[in-house]
Amino acid sequence: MAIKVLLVDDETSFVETLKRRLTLRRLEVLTAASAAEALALLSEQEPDVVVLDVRMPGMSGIEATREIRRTHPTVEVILLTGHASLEASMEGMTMGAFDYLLKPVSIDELIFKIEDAHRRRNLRRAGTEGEPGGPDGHGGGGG
Amino acid sequence: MSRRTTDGRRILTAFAWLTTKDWLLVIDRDPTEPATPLREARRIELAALLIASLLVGGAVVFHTRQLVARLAAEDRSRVAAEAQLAHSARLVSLGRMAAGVAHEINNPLAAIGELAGLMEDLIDDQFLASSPHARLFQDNVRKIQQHVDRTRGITHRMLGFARRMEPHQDMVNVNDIANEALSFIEREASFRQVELIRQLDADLPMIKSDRAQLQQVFLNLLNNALDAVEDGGRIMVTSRAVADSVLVMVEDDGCGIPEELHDRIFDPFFTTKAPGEGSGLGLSICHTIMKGLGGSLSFDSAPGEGTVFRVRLPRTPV
Repeated sequence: MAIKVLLVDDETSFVETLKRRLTLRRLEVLTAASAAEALALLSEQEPDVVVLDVRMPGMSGIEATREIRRTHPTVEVILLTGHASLEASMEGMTMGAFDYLLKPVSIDELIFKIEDAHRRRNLRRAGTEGEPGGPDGHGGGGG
Repeated sequence: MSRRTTDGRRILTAFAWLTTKDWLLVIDRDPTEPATPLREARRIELAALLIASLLVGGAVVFHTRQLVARLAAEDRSRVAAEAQLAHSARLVSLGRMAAGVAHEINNPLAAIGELAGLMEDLIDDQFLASSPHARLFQDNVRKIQQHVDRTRGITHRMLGFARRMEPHQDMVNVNDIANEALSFIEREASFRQVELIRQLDADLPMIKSDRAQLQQVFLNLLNNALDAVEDGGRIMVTSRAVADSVLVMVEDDGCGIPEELHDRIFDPFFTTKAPGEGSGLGLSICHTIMKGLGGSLSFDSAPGEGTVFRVRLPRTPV
């Protein structure tokens, strides 16, 4: 089954192009232009991995991460940042993001990261089935 | 009262009743007769006054001088501190600006990269057969991506630079920092046929310190060395671990520092360079940085033979 990815970025040409490229690589891709849109979409059809831009008008990627972790604890979040704000990315990691990548990111690197995140999501789901209520203890992140 | 005697001399006379006896004390005095003891007393008094005022004046002048000197020294160190503060504030804001620029560039760059990437993804055999220009399209799309990668390298370095400008303690390898600083002067050194010799101890322990500040110190010392040596000269950088510290020496065989200037080398605004060429802050800032890092900066110099600057860094974090 294809990994379902939700791309969230206010730069539409970036999102649309990336969507086509990921689709070509057999991923199922949804897009949203803002964090609010993403959260609305999330409750309708749950993706495996959300790729979030850190800096967006309105709700930031960091706040969105917190919200996603709260409402959809098994959905993994990868942060994309164009900024040196290591602090913001670190904050995102403590919010429970799987990892962060610096823009522009190579497509292969992004796909590897998505696959890793998807793997962790499967582990998480296997874990939470036996022990409902806690994604806790999986904090931190890879790479 | 004054009265005249029979022979016409003027005489001063004073009367006083004695209280114990019914006697009148009469004292006659010739005003022309010299009042020697009185004059003597006045002279001594004057002399004493003069000496005292000289003493007081001297003390006042001495203390004022000292006070003025101290104020001037304080003023100089305050100006130096302010200059250094302004300098580091400038670096930090420069770093922030670099970060902002890098961010602004990264977003459109990411879009360009993805657009070119998609174009490459979509180029297939059918497309390549469809037009004589198709190959050129493919090549160019790849080149666009190569240039995006190159630009990404630049913006990511800029972000790294921005992060380094913030004061930051890290585990650092002093050799790496020295090599990095050396790489900045390699070009000029090779132009001038100055030999750069590295004697870096490969077993140097990592220490906790501020990479950017250390780099600033090394770069400053190396630039000074480069200014000091003649074309075809020699600069040697040595690193070594000693008991409780890591020692880095920057040695040149240049003109040396005249003995009489040794005391002023670390003074702010002291420079031997032509006006406009040196701010006179370099070594002063290095000295302050090294103190701030818990280390020290010292030197030995023999005029005509060369100079060695010694950077000492504590092994245990401060």
